[in-house]
Amino acid sequence: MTPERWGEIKAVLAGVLETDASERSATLDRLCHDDAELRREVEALLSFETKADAVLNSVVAPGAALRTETPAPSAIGPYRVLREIGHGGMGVVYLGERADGQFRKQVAIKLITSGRHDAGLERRFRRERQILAQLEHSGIARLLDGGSTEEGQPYFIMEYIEGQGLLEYCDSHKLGVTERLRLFREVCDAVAYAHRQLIVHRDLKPGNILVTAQGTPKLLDFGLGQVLEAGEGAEEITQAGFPMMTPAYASPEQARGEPYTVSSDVYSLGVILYELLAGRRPYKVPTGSYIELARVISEEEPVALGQAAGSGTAEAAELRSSTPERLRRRLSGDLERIVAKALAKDARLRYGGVPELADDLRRHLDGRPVKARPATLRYRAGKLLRRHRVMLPAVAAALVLILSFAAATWWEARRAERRFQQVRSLAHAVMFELDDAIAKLPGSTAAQELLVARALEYLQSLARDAGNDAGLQREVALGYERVGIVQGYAAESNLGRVPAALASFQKAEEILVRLVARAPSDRSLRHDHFRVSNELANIYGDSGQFQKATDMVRRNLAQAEAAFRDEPSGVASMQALIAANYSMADLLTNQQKYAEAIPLRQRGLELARKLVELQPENAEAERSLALAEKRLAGLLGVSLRYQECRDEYERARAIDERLSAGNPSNMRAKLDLSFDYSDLGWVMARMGAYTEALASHRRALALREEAAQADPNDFRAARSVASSTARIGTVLRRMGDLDAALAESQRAIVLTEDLAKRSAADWATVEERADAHSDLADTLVALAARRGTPAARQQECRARALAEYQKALALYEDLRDKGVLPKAHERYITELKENVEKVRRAAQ
Amino acid sequence: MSAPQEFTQLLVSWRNGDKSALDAMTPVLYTELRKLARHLLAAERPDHTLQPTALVHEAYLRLVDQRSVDWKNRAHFMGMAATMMRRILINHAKAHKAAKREGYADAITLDDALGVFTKPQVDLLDLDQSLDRLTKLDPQQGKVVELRYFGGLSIEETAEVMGISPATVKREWGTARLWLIQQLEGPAVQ
Repeated sequence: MTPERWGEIKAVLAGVLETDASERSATLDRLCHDDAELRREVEALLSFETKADAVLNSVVAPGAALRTETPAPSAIGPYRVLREIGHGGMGVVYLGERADGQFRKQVAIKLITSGRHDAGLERRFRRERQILAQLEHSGIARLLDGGSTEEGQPYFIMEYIEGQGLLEYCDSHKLGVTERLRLFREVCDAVAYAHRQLIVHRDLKPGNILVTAQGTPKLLDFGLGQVLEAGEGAEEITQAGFPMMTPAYASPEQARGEPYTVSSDVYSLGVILYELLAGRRPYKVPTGSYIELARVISEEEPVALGQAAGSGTAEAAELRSSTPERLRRRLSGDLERIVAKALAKDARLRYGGVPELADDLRRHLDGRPVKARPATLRYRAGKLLRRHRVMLPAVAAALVLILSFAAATWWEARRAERRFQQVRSLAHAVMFELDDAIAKLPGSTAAQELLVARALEYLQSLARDAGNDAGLQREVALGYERVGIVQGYAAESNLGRVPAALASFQKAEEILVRLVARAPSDRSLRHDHFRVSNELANIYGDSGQFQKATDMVRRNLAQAEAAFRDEPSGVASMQALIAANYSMADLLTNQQKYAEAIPLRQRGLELARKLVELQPENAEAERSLALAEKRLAGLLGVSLRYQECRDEYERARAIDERLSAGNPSNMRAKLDLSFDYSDLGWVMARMGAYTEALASHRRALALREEAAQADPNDFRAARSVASSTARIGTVLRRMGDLDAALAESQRAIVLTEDLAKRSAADWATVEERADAHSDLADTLVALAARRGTPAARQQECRARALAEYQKALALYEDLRDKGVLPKAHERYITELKENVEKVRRAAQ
Repeated sequence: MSAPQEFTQLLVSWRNGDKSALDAMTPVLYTELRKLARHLLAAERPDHTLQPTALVHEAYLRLVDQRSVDWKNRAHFMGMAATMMRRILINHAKAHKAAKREGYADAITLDDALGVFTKPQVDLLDLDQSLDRLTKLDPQQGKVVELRYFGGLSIEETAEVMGISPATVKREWGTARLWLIQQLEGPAVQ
């Protein structure tokens, strides 16, 4: 065909394609005139129209992906999207940063794309969010935040990891076998940690392991991991496994759709280790039919590791700084047996857990004999022994739970009693051991509540079944206490839900009262009751029920004094007495009876010092001592004894500084220290040292922002950021920098309004909000009075000041009307009314 | 000047008629694509619906400063990448064929790659040869197909890159498809 001829054909063809089907014949007649050959050629081409639509259209074209790519959103929640960095089974991952400029740290944003939206996915996604919040390990990418977009797409914010994939990292650095094993052991540590939290990964593969420039491996995508939690039954465990796996790294049981266990993670780690060492996979996984896939994974024995390496390419050996022959020798023997044990088709023949795999690798690296035996001996060694191998308690508990779900009917019918005890001990472990472990970690408040509440549900159902079992009842009470603390106990990181906390503490106290009545001589029960009723009293105080709080605290204080006389050097009785003193002092302080509160504080401080002497090296005791110093200092401050006040604060600061330096990831210690700086700032300002005061407040704010960033759900941290901002505004006003003061006060209002949305019932938060308005008004008044302010601007400032004072007044009056404003604070209402009048007069 | 800014500048110059800018950009883009391809294959994430075109997209995101270009610049970038895209896909298809002949041992990496690439519905090597013949017959039409099929450009984008009207692009594309299918299928049975 010549270009000219094609030109003719093309012209006719184009003309026909543009006409409707019914008129095509006529169009052909018209365009071809009487050129029969031309007409035949065009008709031949037209016969391919359907086929072309199907296989050569712009949608299936390889290039189509470039166009159908949905554009990245510009922002997700409070985060600005910088660019897409990947997409996985769960959705799209973007690189982002906080859009409100509060923190300037890059994060990875994981979003479910609407195209992949299905109910199961969303449920799995929500679960991933909760699970990740419980994980805190240097080898696991951290969860920072989560939520839904305006369109209802769930997203969550994860630590952004910059690094290479595990295999790529090892190859590009030409790591030898020993170095690869070291790196792999770090991966094992992270997985073992997750297993201790009762979380399995379900989708371990090299692509989910990034190695940072510092050489630290980080596990991504705990999306398939699953808390072995109470609410989800056997059906869930079985069903979730199948469609979400990556076939090349899936275990036989996973490929068959059977329950997933920690042993399945061991298997996947085995595949990764195989590939890491030999440069190829243990067997070839077919694509296509699931049945064929399951058969190969379940049945095909891997090529022995040494043999695989020996028959591999020179390139694979070179990437391991070796030769094929040397690599073959290195990988035969120990390593071959270790990998084979991890890859046993029968889960019972594998390592009992990841720590054991890691241990065996350690043994190999140290040149000691490994535990993995050649296959011929394996069967003779006795399966039973291996099956009942002593495992880490939590891993064992995880297994027990899986078993109990997978075969629930069997258990319940034949081992009801045994299951009862196992579940109880698991719930206990979750509630009291795991919870302690995660309580101090950043980002854990919401996860804590979930964890504890779930365990509590379990205990409650057991308690109902158990009837009069006092031990169990007591655990339920302590469970309520735990939940209450997380929900809204002001002295710890909490979710700001005071009414819920109050209800939890009331339930705990009710149960304990009954138990104490039944066993009055049980000392530890009495301690529990005392502590809980003290906490309840504090919560009453926080929610404005002062009379109830006072009665309760008086009773507690008397009891504590009596118990302390019986047992003057007991740690528990001392702690109880300190707590009672504090509660009483808090109540008096809230009612501004400072002179009465000071001796109680001094007594508390004395006892706290003794406690530190009794328990050297105990960080909690030291923290309590610092707390005692601070509380006394606060009282000295409001009693105008500034120098003494400052000295006490400096002592507290020294302690907290040391505690925080000793454990930099402890956010609670950071917040503690921030309170020292904040209060030092306050007293410095009182003493006229404004420059020092400003520096101290800024230091406090920095610490608090760090803590708030680490756990966006932590109400206490968020509240302290607002408070620092307000204080900085006040100091700036005192220093005469009115414009800067104005900006800070306005920011404080925004922050306190945000707090109010999160916790409407907490009167102290409402007061802070009112004070922020009042601060802003003070600054505006000062601006109006400043020399050189034009008359019009003066007018404007006064008008705004008036409005701000009125807002503050309305908030205070509302608190008073609801009966939650402390009596002594009612004088603020009077003051505000006076201010309103003053501004009115000035404006006229 | 940072890499994206520099590359973006070149892209803008090219669009404004500076032919030498293309020469400066081509090696940069090609290197970036190869780097990305290596990275993506090594990362072995079969759960990613990775397509070769995703490489180009990723390269675009890395090389071009998004804030200072509009869709037209993007089209020009994709237009340039289309040729490379075609080369990547064809090399890939050739390698796949070779791997099939040589058996399993060497096929691991290639298989991984194939597992993640979507299967084209036509034999890419045949299509490539047919497209060469079409380009000899009608260079403009050949280019349109390359941009639309391998570059993923829309009608409007193709028009922008080639400096012709969208109606012309539509005509060229519509008729070329039929011609190419006829070549691939052999003469139609009447």
